[in-house]
Amino acid sequence: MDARKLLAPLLGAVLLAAVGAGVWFSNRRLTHDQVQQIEQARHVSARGLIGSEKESYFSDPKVQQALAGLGITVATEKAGSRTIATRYDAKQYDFGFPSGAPAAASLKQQAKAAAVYTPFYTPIVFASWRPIADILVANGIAQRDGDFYYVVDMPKLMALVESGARWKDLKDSAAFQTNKAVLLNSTDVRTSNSAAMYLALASYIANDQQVVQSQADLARVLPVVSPLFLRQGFQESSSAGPFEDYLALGMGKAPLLVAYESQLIEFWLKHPDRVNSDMVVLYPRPTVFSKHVLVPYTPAGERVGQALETNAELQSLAHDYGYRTGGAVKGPEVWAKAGVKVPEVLVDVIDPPSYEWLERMIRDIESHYP
Amino acid sequence: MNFAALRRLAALALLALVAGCGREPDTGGNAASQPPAAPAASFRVLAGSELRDIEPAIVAAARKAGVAVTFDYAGTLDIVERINAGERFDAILPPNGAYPMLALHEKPVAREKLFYSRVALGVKTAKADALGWTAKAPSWSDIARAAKDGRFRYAMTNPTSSNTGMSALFAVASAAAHKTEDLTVAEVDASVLKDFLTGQAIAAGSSGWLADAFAKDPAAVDGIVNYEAVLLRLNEKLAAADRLSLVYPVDGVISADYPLMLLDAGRRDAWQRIVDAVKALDFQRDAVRAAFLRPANPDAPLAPALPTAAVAELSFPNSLDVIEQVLAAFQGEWRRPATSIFVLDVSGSMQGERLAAMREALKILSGVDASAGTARYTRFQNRERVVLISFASTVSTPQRIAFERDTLDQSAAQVRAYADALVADGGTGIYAALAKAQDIAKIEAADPQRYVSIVLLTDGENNAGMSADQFRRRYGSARVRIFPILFGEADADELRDIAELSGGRTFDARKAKLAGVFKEIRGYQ
Repeated sequence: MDARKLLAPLLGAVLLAAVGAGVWFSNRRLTHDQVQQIEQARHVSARGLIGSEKESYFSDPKVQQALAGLGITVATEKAGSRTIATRYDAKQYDFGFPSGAPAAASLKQQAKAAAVYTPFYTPIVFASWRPIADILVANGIAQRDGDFYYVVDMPKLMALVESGARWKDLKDSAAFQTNKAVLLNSTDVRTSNSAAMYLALASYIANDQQVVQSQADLARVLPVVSPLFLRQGFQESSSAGPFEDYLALGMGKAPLLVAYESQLIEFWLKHPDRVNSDMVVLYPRPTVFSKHVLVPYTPAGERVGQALETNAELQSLAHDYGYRTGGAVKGPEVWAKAGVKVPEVLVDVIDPPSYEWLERMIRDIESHYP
Repeated sequence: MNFAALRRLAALALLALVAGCGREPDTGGNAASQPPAAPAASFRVLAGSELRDIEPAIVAAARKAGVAVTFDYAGTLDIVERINAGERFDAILPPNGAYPMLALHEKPVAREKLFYSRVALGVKTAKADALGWTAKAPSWSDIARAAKDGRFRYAMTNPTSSNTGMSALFAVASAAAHKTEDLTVAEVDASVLKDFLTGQAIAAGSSGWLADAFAKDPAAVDGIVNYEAVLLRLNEKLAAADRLSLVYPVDGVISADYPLMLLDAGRRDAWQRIVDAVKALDFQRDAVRAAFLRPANPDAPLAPALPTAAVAELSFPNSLDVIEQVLAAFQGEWRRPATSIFVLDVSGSMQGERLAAMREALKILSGVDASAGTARYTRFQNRERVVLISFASTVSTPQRIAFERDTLDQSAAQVRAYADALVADGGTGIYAALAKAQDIAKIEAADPQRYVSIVLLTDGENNAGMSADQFRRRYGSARVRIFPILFGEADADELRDIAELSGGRTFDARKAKLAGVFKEIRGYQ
């Protein structure tokens, strides 16, 4: 007898049984424990498109092990956060994990995801160098807070940048005698989230300390914020690139780099000898949080999101990578033990504009790129 | 069977069904944790030519990671042009990613920086001391002034051929515009650029050849623009008196950052393996350090010879238009004007395809199809003098064609008419023709601002007129470089001798297309 003829009714029967079982289950709920047992018995492989800064977290064997304990294997590809939002593809990926709530909001819509997960967050900071921080202090733009970090008066710094000042024109700038403009290095605002968060921050300052949310606001801030990006010359498309340059080429390449706090903390935790070096962190006041939002496309993606948000071990591992988390232990208290004494709570934190207004600003800036 | 067991069984059946609908297990991603791939087609990389030294180490590291890598080499602009023309490589490894990112028609799928090297000025230590540059780093304007006053002569690659020349040009342009960002051509102070370029005594199409030329004749110049990595490797070969101090102009430099740019999305896994292998601590600590490159892995230590003091980093303009305008201004207005002498074999053996290839090559340099790609830089330029000397048994009357802004088209038409009129017949009198070329070169070089060079194209051995010995006796000390092209049955040893004698180099057109070789030679003219 033809095998196909045998197979077809057999498959039909299995399907019928399965559907029947499904109906039956929805009537007779499994206990929570039973569901978990079943879920864990089922091993999933999930593939995610992630912001490049999270790559080292996912490739950490300890993270992989913790995930494996929950029956999850994760493979990742990295891309800029705005790119992730435009590359929604549930056939190729199980989840997108951009940094930044606005990019995630768009992705959530495309994926029609019922729920998203926000396992970690990190504030926008400026990675810098002690001689640069000292120049800013001498010019009344930054001040030292405690013995570890600096706080930057954001309105004053933005005014200095807007004035077109050059480092060698500043008071007490012997340590950095160059025609380079006082300008923050960032990633490419067209593709990457850390730059978009910097835009959120700069537009807030340019809008008399109000979140941009109208056409009138837009018209007011764009002439001020566009040059922050257009003047930078060739830029990287993703946030790991400029941070690598910052480490490899030092102050000359990146006197002031817009970065995630997590990038610096991760580096210091792995390089304790550099904790009290020339590498310093500046906290803009106000600042903005970059929320790392996992948007699931498939049930496997959901499993990853749940695990990262609720599993204490995975959260504790996130602290190793410099992320702040919810839960009983938030991060800074752990880092302080390693001498990385960053603020436990940041008080002056603004909200980013909605996805729509942020996108409008980015698109307008984009249209001015040559 | 009890109820609970039945429920569990049904649930597993359902889950198995759902899971079965999923995809295959994943393969890409974190390659480090995977077993080596089955041997696939080799991973082909088109790279900057100065990487030859580190190629064996990369190949070995990649092999360990399960990938067979092969390298081809070209200058940055050429890399882009070849990819845009449809040549297939799995990845490119240019020294700097800015130009390719702006100019590639299809953007790379992924990129990762492997190591770094600053473009610096190597200056003989005694000279650097005398100029006061060891005590205090000069600005680019200081260097331009020294060049203009004749106190500093240097070797630098042609910015339209090679990344080191291009990086230096844009560093000077930024410095001369008093700004490093959103540069426009109108803001560039051309007088500083011209002063700076006055001091360029040796040009070349590749950073590697330039370093070799310096090593062979260190007396010819005071310094050389190159990667700090190349300069430090060069120092290992030089006598103490010729060793170079690294000078980083205070207003800044542009560094090479060697991004491995993946072009073929299907080779992502192999690309990732190579990236992981090269960025691994052992590779960065050993091979990268030994080559005097700066590591991309922050855990790897820096070679002690590399300075750690901060040097301002300038950037390329974020606009292809601006880059192209600056390069065009360099060729047409700022650089020392060239006198390019072509000594062309029209012996009987050149008849047919060979003569046709030579005609085509001359026409391309005359600016046929100069609208796109690098052709606009390789064509004959404003202020250039082209001298065409054809020879067979005897030497024909040289034809001089001057290119001036207002008459570019007429001059180009003259070159094309000359090419069309060439007839192949007779023997091969190489040295008599070269002697004629050297005589003209001497007159041309009387103007110290002219950059004079000779290209020799021949497909055979010398069998008429002046002998090699006679030529050597009369022109052995002539300083004008000869760049012979190996073609047809040319005698490779003979041509190499000619190149060596004059400090030039040979090019091989026996397998490559002649037009491509002519374009490559333009970097040396």
